[in-house]
Amino acid sequence: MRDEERKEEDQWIRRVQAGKTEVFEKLIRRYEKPIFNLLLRYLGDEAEAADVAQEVFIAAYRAIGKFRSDSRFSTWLYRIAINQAKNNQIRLAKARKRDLLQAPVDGRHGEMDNEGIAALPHKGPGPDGLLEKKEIQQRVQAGLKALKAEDRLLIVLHDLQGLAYGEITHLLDLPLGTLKSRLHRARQALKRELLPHYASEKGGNEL
Amino acid sequence: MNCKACRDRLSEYIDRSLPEAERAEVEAHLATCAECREGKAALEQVVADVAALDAVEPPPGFSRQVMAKIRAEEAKPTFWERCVLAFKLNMPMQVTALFLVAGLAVYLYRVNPLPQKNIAQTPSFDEMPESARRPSPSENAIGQDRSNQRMAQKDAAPLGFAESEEKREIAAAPSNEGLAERENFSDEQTRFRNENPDALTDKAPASNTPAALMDDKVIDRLSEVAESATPSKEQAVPDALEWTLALKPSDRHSGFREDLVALLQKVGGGSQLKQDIPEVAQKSEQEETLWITLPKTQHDAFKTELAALGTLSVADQKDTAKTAESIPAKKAIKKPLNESLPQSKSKALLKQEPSLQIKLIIRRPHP
Repeated sequence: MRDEERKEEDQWIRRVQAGKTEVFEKLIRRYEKPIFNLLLRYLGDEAEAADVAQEVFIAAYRAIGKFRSDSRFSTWLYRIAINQAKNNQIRLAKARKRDLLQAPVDGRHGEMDNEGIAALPHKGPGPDGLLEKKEIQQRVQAGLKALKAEDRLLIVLHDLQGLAYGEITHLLDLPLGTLKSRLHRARQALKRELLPHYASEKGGNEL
Repeated sequence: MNCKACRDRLSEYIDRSLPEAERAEVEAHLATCAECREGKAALEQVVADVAALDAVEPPPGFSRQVMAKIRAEEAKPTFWERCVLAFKLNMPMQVTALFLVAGLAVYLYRVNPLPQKNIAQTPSFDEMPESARRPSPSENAIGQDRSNQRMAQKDAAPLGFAESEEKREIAAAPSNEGLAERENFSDEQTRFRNENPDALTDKAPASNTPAALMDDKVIDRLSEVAESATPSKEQAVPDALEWTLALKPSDRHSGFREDLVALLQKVGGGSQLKQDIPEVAQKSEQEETLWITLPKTQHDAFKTELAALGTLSVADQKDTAKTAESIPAKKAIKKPLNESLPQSKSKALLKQEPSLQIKLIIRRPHP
């Protein structure tokens, strides 16, 4: 973030802290997209991501009095988002367990991995480049979904959102060495998920 | 560098975060190892595919929706949230808690004495017996240091012997008046405490007595009375009764006395055995009169158990009340049986505990 943007942001925060509620909307506008996408890729469901994103900003507003500018607002906000997402996962897991017990044939919908990664079409480049790109995205999303939540989070933060190692260690309270080895492990896991498709697409060519 | 060392560093190699020396080693290995080259390419593809995921726009009107929710919440802010936000106090939880507790204490202090005062003013002050109007320092000591009293409990005698005069006072007073008396009494106590701030700490006697151990019960009873201002079951029991217990021939021996003492302990009553005072007891060898004081709540239990000890006959209640009044207690008993009992304290206790006095005549069969 450029210096002037940062200064502007600090000003917004101070005004919100002083009771100017409406200024908070500027902060939402600045961060709604990255937060929503973080949640979308982590949770794998748009409606769920939108709900949690709302909770994140409301929680941030409630707690903004405690925010101190010695840490970055984005980091602070991401931390709230990660906590809310984890809580939501726990809540959902409980609800699903309950649903599963009540109704064994459970027709969940609105999720990208409905049929599982194996059910996605295995074919070479389609007639339309756009379609191919969409397929790849679906596969990647499905592959991410197959990962452990912890692995998925690291890949989303680093490889999708482009957060630096230093930011992530600060965000998750991880030592740098641990972060590096976990990220490596997570990427290897995702590679294992996606490798069959690469092989079929490239017709067994060496990558 | 072997393949494993190379694989372990591929992720960092891709991120260009390896130290220069290690990066050179990895590159050297990749130049010679096709398998590792393949692995590196696949990993790069994975990272690139993730990065290529399209950013998705949040639902339209997202920020407006969030702001609407925030404003709805703002419209009904909690008091403390508002204070913290408006004054930028950011008060620590402990300080907030302290204020809350202090506020509650003040509130309770101001609210509670008022209803008591209102009730206390209904009966005429002059109608109160002298002893009720005159608070003694020890009366103020009720409720003081309850833990001490609990420790004293172990050493104390099981029966709380009370002075007879005191019992007669209660026997004479109808229950309703008794309640008013107690209320007025506490009012009086408050006034006394205000005028003599030192009384509570300085003049309170050491409380290692049977009466002291009853304080806990008394306080519990008082709170019960306060909670249920409605007439309760205990008020149906008169203040004085006269019972005659004819013992079976087999009970002539001393076993009966132990049974009775045990029973009295159980119901929390006290008794004064006239037999212990020679000139009264010598009148009749076959008859013993016991004065028993016990909480009214124990009336039924005591009667049931007593009936098991012999044949119990109950005298007419009105007559009993007269009898109880007509016997001057001071003459009947020349000295209190338990001299260690502080009199003023026992007065206070008995005044507050709705108690029942039973004149129990025990008839022994002729040998």
